[in-house]
Amino acid sequence: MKGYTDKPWSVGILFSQTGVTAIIEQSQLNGALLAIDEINEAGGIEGRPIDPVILDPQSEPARYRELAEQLLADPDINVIFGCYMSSSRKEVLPVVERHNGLLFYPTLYEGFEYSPNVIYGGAAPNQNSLPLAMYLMENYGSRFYFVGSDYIYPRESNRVMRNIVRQGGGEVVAEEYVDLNAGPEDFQAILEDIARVEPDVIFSTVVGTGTVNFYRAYHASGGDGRKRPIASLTTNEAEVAAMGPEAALGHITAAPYFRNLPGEANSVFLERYRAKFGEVRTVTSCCEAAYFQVHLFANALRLTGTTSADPLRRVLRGAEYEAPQGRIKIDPDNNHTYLQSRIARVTVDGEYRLEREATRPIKPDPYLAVPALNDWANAPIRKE
Amino acid sequence: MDNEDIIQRLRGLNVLVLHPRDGDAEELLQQLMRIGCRAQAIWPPPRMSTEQVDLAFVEVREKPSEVTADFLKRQQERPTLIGLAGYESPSVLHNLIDLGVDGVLPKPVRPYGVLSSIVNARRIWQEGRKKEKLITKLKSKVENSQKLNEAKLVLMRIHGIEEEQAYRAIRHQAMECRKTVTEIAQSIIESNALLHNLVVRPKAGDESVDESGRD
Repeated sequence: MKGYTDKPWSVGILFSQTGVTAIIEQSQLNGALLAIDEINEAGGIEGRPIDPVILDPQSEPARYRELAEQLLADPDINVIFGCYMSSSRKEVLPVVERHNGLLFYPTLYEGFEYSPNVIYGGAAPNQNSLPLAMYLMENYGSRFYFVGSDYIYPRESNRVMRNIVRQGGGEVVAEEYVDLNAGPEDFQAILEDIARVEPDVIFSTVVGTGTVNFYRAYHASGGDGRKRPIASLTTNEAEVAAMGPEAALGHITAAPYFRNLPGEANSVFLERYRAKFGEVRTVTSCCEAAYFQVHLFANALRLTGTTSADPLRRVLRGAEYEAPQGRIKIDPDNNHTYLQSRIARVTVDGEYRLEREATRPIKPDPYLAVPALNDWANAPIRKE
Repeated sequence: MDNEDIIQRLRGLNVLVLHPRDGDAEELLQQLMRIGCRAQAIWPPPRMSTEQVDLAFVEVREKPSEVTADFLKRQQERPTLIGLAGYESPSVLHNLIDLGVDGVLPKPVRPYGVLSSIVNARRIWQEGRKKEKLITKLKSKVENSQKLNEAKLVLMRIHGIEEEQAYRAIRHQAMECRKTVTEIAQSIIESNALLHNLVVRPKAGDESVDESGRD
């Protein structure tokens, strides 16, 4: 190993460590930092370590733009890992496009975007909403109750879900939105309505701290996930740990990755995570995405020897990686990622137990306006 | 067709890009593929007739393009048109107006905006077509009602009947002959004109005779 005499490769990191989405973004930050550690311990890239410049946008979309400007104003920084909420990505996007930088976005989102300056590492709706809707209708019934935080992702996500539910002959009995900073009391009226309407399943696109408040309030109001589950695309291990196993029991999440997946790549990942952070409670699918995106970047950097966007993009398109979730690949058509598709349910011990998974990675289709129920049919599924 | 339909039918659209093969055409084509349209770029515009095109992106420059105009003329139904313009100079703007584009996509082409420009152009195109159809329908309705009125007047004058009776006579005749009321009205008007001409013309020719006779 070279004794790092050369200048390090500086990369920007924009994950909020404070504010409403801090739990999940801290988890993404950890994933990115773990990967950077691994790369640096193995000798860096061309003998130069990766040096993360970490800024905290405090869950404020406008701050993401300011800090992205600040990062890219540094001539050594051309690559940023960051953003959770779509609203924050939309703020950063014009900045990275203007500087011709590269944003690695390790979060599921609503689709309908392509920028040559973004590499999308989270699931598009065809990779998670479709399988989830099919699973719910097969197992719980067709009367859906939608609850979401009030911003673009929940609204668009619900539009997709509504389409699928209708195609399956189901019905959306209500669609309610709460403030992003919703406290436990903000869910009272909705919970009363749920008790009255008696839907088969609740589809939640509540994000951030509202998630923990919502699941807890549901539990306190007598809601039972084993009978009428809350299904989500975002609720994860870190939030389950925060709400406690009683409130989380029986609820369902669709994601490419769950912490307790079997497999060599995942156990090595978790081992190293534990060694660095002392626990694995905060490992989530978005954390895993941040982790593999840093590795994809490092592998690309090894080939290009520069952090300029154009050469990086050329080698990133079609790049593959053996991630903790399994093999993934950047789709050269749209900069999104072929991902695994899985559905899991929280058991009594507060762990996700796999219910169903696709047998191979699913191609991202970010511009799927009208998802058809049979779109997933060409991806064989494995039931547990 | 309502707006939801426009979004739902995006992927079925047959899209043609009439633009020289360069970075802009490439960028546009790739974004169209991402959106999921059936898209192809052809340059120069094909001289042979092609499959019906639903939507065409056409390069618009300071000089009107004859090959593009010829191609559009050969289309059975005018496709939705989106102009690809690199300049906003009056001559380019003039050509955009002359072509009657439903939307404009500025160059250099960026992936953002392609989808909205398609959706908006489709809406304008559909509304235009809907209005055209409505106008054609209303026009023929007005014409038909004029014909019917004229025919009724003819019958009323010849037979000394009321309007209501005249109408019933026309309708009855239409049912007998399995024709439309308008067709019968048309025949009545034509026959009347013919009879009128037959009566009037000899008169006009015999005028001098009549006059001399009277004298």
